[in-house]
Amino acid sequence: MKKRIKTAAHLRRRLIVFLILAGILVAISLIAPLICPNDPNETSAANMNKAPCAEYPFGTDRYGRCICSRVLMGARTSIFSAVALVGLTFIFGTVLGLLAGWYGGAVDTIVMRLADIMLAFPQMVLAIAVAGILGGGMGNAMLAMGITGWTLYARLARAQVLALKEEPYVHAARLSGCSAWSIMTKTLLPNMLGPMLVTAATQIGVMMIGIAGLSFLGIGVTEPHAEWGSMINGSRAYLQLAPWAVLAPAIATIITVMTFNYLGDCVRDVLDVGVER
Amino acid sequence: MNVLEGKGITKRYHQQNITVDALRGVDFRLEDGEILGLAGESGSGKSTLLKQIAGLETPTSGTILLHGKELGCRRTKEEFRAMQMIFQNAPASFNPRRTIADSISESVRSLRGRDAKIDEAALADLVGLPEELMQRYPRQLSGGQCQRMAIARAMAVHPEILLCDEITSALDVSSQAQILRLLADICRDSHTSAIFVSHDLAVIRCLCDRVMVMKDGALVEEGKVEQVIHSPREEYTKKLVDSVLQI
Repeated sequence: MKKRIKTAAHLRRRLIVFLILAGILVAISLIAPLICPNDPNETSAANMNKAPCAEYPFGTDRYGRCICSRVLMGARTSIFSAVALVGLTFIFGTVLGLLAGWYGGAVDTIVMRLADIMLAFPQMVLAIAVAGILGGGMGNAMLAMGITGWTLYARLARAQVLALKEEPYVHAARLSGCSAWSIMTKTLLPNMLGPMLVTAATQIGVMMIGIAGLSFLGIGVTEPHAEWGSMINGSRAYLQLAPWAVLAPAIATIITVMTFNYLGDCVRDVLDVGVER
Repeated sequence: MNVLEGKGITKRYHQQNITVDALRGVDFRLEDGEILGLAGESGSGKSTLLKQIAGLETPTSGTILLHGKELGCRRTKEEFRAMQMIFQNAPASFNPRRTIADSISESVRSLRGRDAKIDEAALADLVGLPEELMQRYPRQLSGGQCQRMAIARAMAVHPEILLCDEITSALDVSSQAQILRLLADICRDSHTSAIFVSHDLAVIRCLCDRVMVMKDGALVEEGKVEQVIHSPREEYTKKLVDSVLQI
């Protein structure tokens, strides 16, 4: 018993650590314009591909722009676009999955077949096609990723509802005369939210890499907007000459993705222990 | 006078190419203030019949009448209030994310109006538990305590009929006896009728006035408990009684 309590406390501590780290990343992205050492879009022919120094902590890129400032401003684009995308797909997918699982029949068939159609295409290929048709830009890149992203939550939510529907407490709620809306929002949703949130937390990293990938391919965020994927793409031709221009956004991506992935794992572990307790 | 009546209730389940007749034209009646036992081995259709009565499922054919009025597919709140079900797995019948008091309040508000409030002290007293247990989560209570709270939830809306689905089968012998005594007292004091499903004839003998014995979804024997146990007419009932005596 003592060991289990210790483990639960340890998991909670780990969760707090990663929550703080994720909070710091979000805070940095929020206050990025205030803490940028230089103007992220200011070009300078005299400072092209300059190595890290006191004035430019991460060096400069091929146009003489401050990498540090662009990484900080890129955090805003990368983190917020990933969080917003996960949030939107989470809400859309969960609502559809909830309705499909609860009502079954035609609603279930329509939602699940739609999900099957979306899943028939590899996510990145479909995203490239959508972004290619609609053109570049953050909005279109998010739409391209989100068009298949909701299916994950819809399928998970539906599976959860199908399992929970047969629980005696859901039967008890039905026999209490509660409306379908009330059962879905007050009984089903709170009990299925744990695994759904864990999936969403781990998906932040996946979406971040997806959006960065589209930008890397030149069909996501376009210059001169700072975004980590497009920064890597823009500087890869100068990798031997100015490796810092690629390394700085790449390391920022790795750290952010790892932080959000670990955060998701910690949420899952803490919830698992909570259920056990 | 009959408070509840069932006529020719059938329930057929279809799954892929398999068809299962879970209920085959069951007739029953429940008199005012009576406790009716439903006995039979596993798979005989007792719980299925209870689900049709409670409104969790719709019978394939047949009618269920409450005070002579036919119950439709979509029950009104008043019809839900009149019949309250108590489940076999009491801890699982409460929302794990809510306290017992919250779960009971939700049920009362839903069935008796948004302004309806529960008297936690009176409900806890009714089922012989301390009031502070109302603020606990289901996982923080024992099986017996949860079953008492389930009875409290059912009684909070002043039902006319209690539908009890194997409510003592997951409990130890001592808790079983306490729950049976509590249920008998509550039904007697509040003049509430009950249908009590159990595979255990000894339990039914302790509590019920009348018993219906079911086999393969059909009613095989019905009568006063003592009469059915001491002089069963059907071979199946004899075997059921003998199995209890052997144990």
